[in-house]
Amino acid sequence: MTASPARLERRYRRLLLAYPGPYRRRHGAEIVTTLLDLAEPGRGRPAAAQALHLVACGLRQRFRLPAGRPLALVAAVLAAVAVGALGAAAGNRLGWRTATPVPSADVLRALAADAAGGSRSDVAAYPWETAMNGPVLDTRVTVASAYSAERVRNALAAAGWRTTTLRETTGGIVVDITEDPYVTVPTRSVRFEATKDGLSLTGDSTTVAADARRGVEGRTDQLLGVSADESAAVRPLTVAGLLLGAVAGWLVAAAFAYRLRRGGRSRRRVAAALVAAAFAAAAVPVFVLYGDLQQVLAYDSGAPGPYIVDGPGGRLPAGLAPACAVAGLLALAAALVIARRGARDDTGATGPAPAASG
Amino acid sequence: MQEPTFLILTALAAEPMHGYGVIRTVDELSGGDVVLRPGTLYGALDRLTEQGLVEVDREEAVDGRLRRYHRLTDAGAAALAAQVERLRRHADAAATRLSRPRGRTAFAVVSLGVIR
Repeated sequence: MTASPARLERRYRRLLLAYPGPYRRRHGAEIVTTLLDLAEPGRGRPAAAQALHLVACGLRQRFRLPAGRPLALVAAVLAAVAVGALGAAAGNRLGWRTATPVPSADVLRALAADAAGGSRSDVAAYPWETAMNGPVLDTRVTVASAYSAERVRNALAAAGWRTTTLRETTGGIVVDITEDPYVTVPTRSVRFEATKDGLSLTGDSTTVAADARRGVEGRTDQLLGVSADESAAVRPLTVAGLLLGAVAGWLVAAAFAYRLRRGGRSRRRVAAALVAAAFAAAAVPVFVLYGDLQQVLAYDSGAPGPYIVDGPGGRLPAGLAPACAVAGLLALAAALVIARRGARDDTGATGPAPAASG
Repeated sequence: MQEPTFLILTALAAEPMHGYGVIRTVDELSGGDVVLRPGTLYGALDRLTEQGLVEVDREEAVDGRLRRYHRLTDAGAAALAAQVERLRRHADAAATRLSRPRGRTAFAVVSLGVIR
């Protein structure tokens, strides 16, 4: 095999892809010349150590920020924090896709109706998400007849569930508080728990005895819910998303800072003001996302049932976080357009970038 | 200032040079101690250009390949001179202290006395 300089040059150019685009366009040609000057005659491929070093330097260049620009550093840190929050949310969603999906509302309505001895059409279904964004589907149905533990057990078994707990208790509910002591009627309850590969089911059926004298009709209220068990991937993927998002945010900010540096002064000012506005707007959604992240990482999967936590996001006016996110993205898009134009105007010049000023 | 940066500025102090020239000159200047790799060289050149210490002198095309010559700016020359002054001060201080006979400082006499 004869080594051709053209092939070696092609290989060097490929290695230079590790560098950011604008840097490559400015310095790529002279770097390749120097690499070819350095190559031993007859060499067909770059030495492994040299190739590795070049790629490492290229990747490092992507993380670099323009010298003497403290605001670029602030922006990069804020971008890492903000995009990290998005990454964590995305990683969390991705993690939950590895969990067993909860059954459809129709399937669960059928099970709830069988367990309660009622009709499917009477069963109401409510989907919701836990504090760590795990899917839950709750059902509620009221029937006239008393519950039967046997029927509950059979309905669960027929649907493939393994009952782990089934406990009956008695109690009472207050029906009249105008007398002293309050008037109560007795109740009977059954509480049950079951599992089926990656899903957990909890339910509670309470029968109120009829009391014609008090005008109380006999009825049974049954609550039955299914939640997806946390899969092993949920928390690791959430953290991985946070880290990847942070890196991505930093890289975008670094690329943006270099673009902006090549634009004119007034253009830089407008773009910087827009970026500042974007960060200000992003503060609200990012705050909410970190509240969510904290809840994901602190979630107690050993709790008796799925739960939600009243987070900081819940205390904000509804719609504020999405509105701020949209405003932030618009400001950011405008800044990117301006920075892009600035960079394009400058591409004609082959000389050195104008010395950083101001 | 890091050693590769110092040597790159030193190489460019005499005349404008292209990348390969800088690598060879640094190799000679350091007696083979510092072998600049292209990634390091261009990372440093980019940074030095940003800081206004180095600028592009001219470009030539040799066999269809771009050769870009870099030169020291006035600010670069000043930065290098300041660094030279600093290193000279340190070198002088080190030489002075080395020429002093060792083991005869007041502290050493006292500690020897205590041990005995």
